[in-house]
Amino acid sequence: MRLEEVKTDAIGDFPQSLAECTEGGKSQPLVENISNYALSKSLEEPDTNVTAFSQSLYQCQTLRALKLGPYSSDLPNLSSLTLLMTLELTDVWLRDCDFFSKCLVLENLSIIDCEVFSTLNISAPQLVKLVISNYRSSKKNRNGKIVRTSPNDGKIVITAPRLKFFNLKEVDPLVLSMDGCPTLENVDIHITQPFCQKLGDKKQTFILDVFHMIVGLIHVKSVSKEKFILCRNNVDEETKIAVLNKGTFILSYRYADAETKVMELKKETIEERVLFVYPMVNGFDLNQFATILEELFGEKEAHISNQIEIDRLSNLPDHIIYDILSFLDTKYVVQTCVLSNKWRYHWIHIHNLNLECRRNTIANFKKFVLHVLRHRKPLNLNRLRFHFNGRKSQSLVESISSYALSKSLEELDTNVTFLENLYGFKLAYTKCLVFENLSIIECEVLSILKISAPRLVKLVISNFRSSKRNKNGKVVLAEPNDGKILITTPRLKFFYLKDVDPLVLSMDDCPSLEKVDILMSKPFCDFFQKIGDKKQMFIRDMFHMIEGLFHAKSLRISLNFTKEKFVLRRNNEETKIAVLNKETGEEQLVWPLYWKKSKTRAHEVAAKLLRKQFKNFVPE
Amino acid sequence: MSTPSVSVNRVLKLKSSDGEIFEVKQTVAVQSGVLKQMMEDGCTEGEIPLNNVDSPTLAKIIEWCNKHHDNDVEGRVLSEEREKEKEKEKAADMKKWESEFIDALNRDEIYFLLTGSNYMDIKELLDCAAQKVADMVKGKTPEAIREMFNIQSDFTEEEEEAIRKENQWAFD
Repeated sequence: MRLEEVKTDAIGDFPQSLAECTEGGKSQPLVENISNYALSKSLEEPDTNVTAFSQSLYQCQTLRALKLGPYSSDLPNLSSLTLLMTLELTDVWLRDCDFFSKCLVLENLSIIDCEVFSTLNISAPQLVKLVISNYRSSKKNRNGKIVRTSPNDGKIVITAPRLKFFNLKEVDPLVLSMDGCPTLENVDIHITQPFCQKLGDKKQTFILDVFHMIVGLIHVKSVSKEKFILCRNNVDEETKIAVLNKGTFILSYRYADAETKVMELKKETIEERVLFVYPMVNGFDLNQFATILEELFGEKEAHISNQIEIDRLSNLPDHIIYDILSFLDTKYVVQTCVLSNKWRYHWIHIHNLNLECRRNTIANFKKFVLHVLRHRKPLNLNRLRFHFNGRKSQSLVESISSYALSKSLEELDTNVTFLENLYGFKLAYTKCLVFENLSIIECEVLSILKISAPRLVKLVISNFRSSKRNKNGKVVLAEPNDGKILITTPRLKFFYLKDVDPLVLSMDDCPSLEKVDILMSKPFCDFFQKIGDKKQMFIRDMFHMIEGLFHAKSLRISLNFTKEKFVLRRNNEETKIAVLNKETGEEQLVWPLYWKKSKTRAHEVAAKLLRKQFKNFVPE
Repeated sequence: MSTPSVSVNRVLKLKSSDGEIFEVKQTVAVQSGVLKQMMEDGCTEGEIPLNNVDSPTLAKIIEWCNKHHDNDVEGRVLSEEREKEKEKEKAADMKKWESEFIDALNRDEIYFLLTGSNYMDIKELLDCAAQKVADMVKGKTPEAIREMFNIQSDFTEEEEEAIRKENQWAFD
């Protein structure tokens, strides 16, 4: 078998028998054994911290990914690793400056905690992602102090024609040369606090160094459309480098904008604030950029004179602003009138109203709503949401209803539950000509509910109670027609009825009905337990309900309190009744019924089925 | 059927404001009201210049349209009983994808997406981006909104006071 991955960790956790090998992590025979084994098995991914690794392993031509840990001695020669795609170097001293040139298929390269002698050349034709983190370029003098001798020291020359992502973290400013990277898309540079503490005129050096680094990237920006971020982190006031705020500065450039921006990023809120914007006419103007940085890193509290704020929001086309405002709570929309002159009358154009009574008293809320209704432009209303959250005001409901009515409301969402609203609604339902979706959730009706909407396609009624209450507040059903719903909707296709008591439905005026789904929860009086003949009533009521639906193409009734649900499906002249096992999802045909015009036959079957279902609950 | 010129394999060439060419299947492009109209009028030969949409934005818009198109096609082949649940799942997945898509954008990108989808007349995308901006504005005081979007007030203090008074019901 081929070996896919091997991990050798010579620090601890070795089996007893190998204990003698672990001292200092050195056991040349062991390492060689492992290497030879891996080599013979076409290893693809080694991961090791052994420092004196056998050179032979790096002859392993099948390696695809390689991680090299702290490595003080000479680097292995990687020239034979022709398949290597991912390489991660941690704490390696890169003495050989042309280390990567032989890796022809390398795609990911990470250089972490590494040190280089002079110039680093990275030349990889397939490289897509390059991460350099905590990179130091240094020559040390005799005292161990770092000195910089020639300006090219610490230069990184990158020739990677396919490079897209370049991430530079926690580095001192470097001299970059990236002319060979035309496809660069995203450059992210993250500079930590320079490690010399007292800066004084070092600040100038630092800024200069940052420049040098960026110069290597400017050409890239001007030919393609990447994002370039210069972050300065850990700003400490004592160092007096960054003075604007304790934050992060972002310099970003987008080809599309033809603008260069310097932004301040507030860490706590992750909000960006634009500090400078410069138009980009003919490429990047270095002098201008110098001014920006000078200001940013300058000692005095930044005096931003040539600040150009961009306010894209206000400059959007008006109707997009109306779209945006229409999503918001109307109260906050009205408040935008004080933003600026431009915004003063935006709010009166919104096409949705979201009216919710939260902390206000109903009196204040009413004043607010009437104010809105009075001042809003007389435009059509797409969506109306009004939640009173338990408060009551008959007159307000009427005002809103009649307003909605006059503005051809299309979508309504309300949690108003008290009885009085009915009349307001009946009016709204019957005359809203363009309704397509209607949901009635947790509503209560006094006698008959009429829904008449010529364009209604989908109707959802959930938790609907029809009731008259007697003096004691108890619910009574007085007349057989109470709780009847009359639906006249020639285009209705989908009808869902959830958690309702059996209702009397009359749906003869819905010829295009396609799918009816009825979900019955357990009836709310425990009549199965106590009163035997109530069950009969329930069944009778069910029939009444179903009677109004027999012309639907597909009808499904699910009884929530039984194990199964049954399905009545009609296909042209053939009607099938099936029992669907909820757990297995299997459908068992109980009655292949050829039902022409015999409704009674279907009734009998349905009755039989129902009785069978109810047996689970009450003994006959 | 109403648009016989639309075939599955035909491709439109869209040219962004900065001159990049993007290829889009006709079946995907119908999501744009403008392109749909052009197809119906039969004037989609050659490159279609979209002068108000830059290439990063156009790439985003096409990503959106491709995603929504894929979803439509897959939705149709399922049997009836499972269909409903699958559809629910699909819708939830799509919601998730949409929010990830829009959350990954920075504010500028969202603005470009707004203007771009407006220009190309892609209602769903426009709504999605508008919703995102609305979410950013949601619950903020006028001061916070000004701060957030760099809106410069051009009212004097007296003027602002007067406007607040005029609409005081909204400020209680």
